[in-house]
Amino acid sequence: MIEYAKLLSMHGYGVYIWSSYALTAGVFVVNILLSTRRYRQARERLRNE
Amino acid sequence: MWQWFYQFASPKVFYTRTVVISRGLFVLTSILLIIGTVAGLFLTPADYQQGDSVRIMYIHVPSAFCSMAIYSMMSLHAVMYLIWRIKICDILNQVAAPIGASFTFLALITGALWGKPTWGTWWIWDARLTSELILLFIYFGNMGIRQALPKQNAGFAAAVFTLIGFVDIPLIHFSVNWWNTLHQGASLSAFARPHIASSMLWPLMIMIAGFMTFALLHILSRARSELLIREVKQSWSRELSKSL
Repeated sequence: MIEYAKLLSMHGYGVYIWSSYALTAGVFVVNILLSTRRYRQARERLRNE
Repeated sequence: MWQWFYQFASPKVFYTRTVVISRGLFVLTSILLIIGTVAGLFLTPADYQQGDSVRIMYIHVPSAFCSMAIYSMMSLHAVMYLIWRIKICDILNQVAAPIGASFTFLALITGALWGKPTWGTWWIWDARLTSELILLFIYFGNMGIRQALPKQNAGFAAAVFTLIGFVDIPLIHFSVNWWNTLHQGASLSAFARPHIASSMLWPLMIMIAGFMTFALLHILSRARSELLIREVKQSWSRELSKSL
């Protein structure tokens, strides 16, 4: 339990570090979703044509 | 070799080859990002001055690198489109802009999150930070042109706009040398030994490679989608629709 607390706190910088990594992961996920949506749109258009 | 490269100008060849390339890129990106993240968060030492906050570097520097690399790539495609009118170059210029904007946004936000514990401020109108913010607006401008203009003019206008905006790239890169800034100077250079300990250098290089392959993977994916939409009436795309 203490180890987890240490890991999260990162000697007091945890908020900044974990926020940065979470935000980066979020931006990556948004990029993946947008690419997938665009591909689906293209595929549908091609099928309907 | 050059002939293999030139063939990418053909929409059909571009589509089929990038499908194969993307599979390899997906595997490579996954490996690089997993190794880089684990190393950056848990394996590398804390900085003697900045402590653990230096771990933000492993995402801030790759984001900033990608923001400029993607724009440079867009500019190269803009030149190629203006000279040879290659359709693929226009498509790559178009689809790279939102991805580049997302990396610029990340560089600014992670920079603020790193700046607060090390500089004591989230933001300052420093030359490096301001020129990076301008790059974000340039990306938005490029995307806006695509939305605002009719399709037959948008490619040309976006290409010209991209080339005008390229002025900002050397400004960002050299801003730390040309002006007195709060931002530190470059630690990595193509022509000099890196000013960074090897224990921190290797995860940073892995993360830069991981971010670049991620960006490339998504640029190629969206380019293929855009290509399908633009070439919807062509025989090769009709043939392809049977297998999709």
